[in-house]
Amino acid sequence: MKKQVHRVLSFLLYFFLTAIAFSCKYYNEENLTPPPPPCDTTIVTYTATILPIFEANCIVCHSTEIGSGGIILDTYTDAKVPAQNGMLWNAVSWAPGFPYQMPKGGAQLPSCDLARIKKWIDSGVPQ
Amino acid sequence: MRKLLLLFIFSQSVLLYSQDSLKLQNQKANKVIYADETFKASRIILGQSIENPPNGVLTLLISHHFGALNSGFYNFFGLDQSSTRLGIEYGILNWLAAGIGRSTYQKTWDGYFKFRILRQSKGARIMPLSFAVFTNITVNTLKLTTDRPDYFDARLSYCTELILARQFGNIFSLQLTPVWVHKNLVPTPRDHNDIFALGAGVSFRVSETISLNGEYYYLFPGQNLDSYTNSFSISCDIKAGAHVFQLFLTNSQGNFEEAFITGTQGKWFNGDIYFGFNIHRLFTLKTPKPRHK
Repeated sequence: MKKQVHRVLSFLLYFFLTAIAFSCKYYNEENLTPPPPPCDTTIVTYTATILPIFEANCIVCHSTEIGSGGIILDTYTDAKVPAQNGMLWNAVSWAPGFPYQMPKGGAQLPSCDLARIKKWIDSGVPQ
Repeated sequence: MRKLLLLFIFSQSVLLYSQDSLKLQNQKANKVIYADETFKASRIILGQSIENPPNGVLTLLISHHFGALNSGFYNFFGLDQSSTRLGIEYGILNWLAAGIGRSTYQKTWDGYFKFRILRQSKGARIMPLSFAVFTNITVNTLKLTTDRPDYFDARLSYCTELILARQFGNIFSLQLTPVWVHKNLVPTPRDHNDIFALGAGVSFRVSETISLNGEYYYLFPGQNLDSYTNSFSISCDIKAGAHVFQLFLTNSQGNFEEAFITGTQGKWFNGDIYFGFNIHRLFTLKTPKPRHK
């Protein structure tokens, strides 16, 4: 009985020590955090690229029903207007001297979203 | 003639006394006398002591740190805050104990073994020191607050200690504890995953039931731990039957090795002193075999 107990304990011990040995890692937070994915601005259209950005950040105030400040962004026809007259870019890029910084009361849009809006405007606001 | 008789009687009694004394010495020389109770419990204060629970004895350990004494009257000098560990340890054999516990500090689980290799003794076998090996694994179970992948092995840390202790008579015990802590995850590439320290503990036996203990863990320099301090604690141990109560003051908030050895930030001279207590409650689950064989 004693020998069996010793054998079981020895096995548990070897298992424990082996588990420790193979679980030893040398991580740090910086090398565990993956780099951000590259920003794809090759093909940018209102429907596929820009509308999801507006829906996540802007439509809460600039929908057809609410139309805060006279700006509507949930349809292509209405969204084209501030995009082509410069108001959209001035607002989201927080241009110095421009009275509005959008999203209002929130953090500026991520740099990839800004790059996509810029590409959309520069390529003639394709639908 | 009378003087000769007296001398003869005196010499006989001296001889008889010598024979008895020699018999006693021979008896003592054949017996191994082990150092008992180098420390009153399996912890000096925060850290492991040389002691193990005996075979068949389960120890319930409640370890409670209050907040810092310098947190002001509004926080009632730290009594409003707490950091607690609940754990059990069991004497599997006389030389092997295992334990498991959970701390509120970073919601950490820990499991460990302590192997008693050598036992200080005199008489038939002379061993000047007691020696034990302690090894644990801890798992941090805090929820991630960042978007990175949640690897389980990034939550693990390990601690291995070599425990050397000696009891000096019935009054004073000294322990030295070289420590190696390995953390699988550290904050930056400049931080070390392997951290080495040297612990020292002392115990002064004031009476059969009371002792005064001190403990210090020195972090070796050059390990990028400049924002951390060395852990220093003092305590009063009170043994009462199957309980040992340890009332202590410490500058460490954590209750397990990785936390208080490598994560202490309190400074005694700043008043970052945490009052706390350990309660050891022993339950005899099976009659322990005699330890001295």
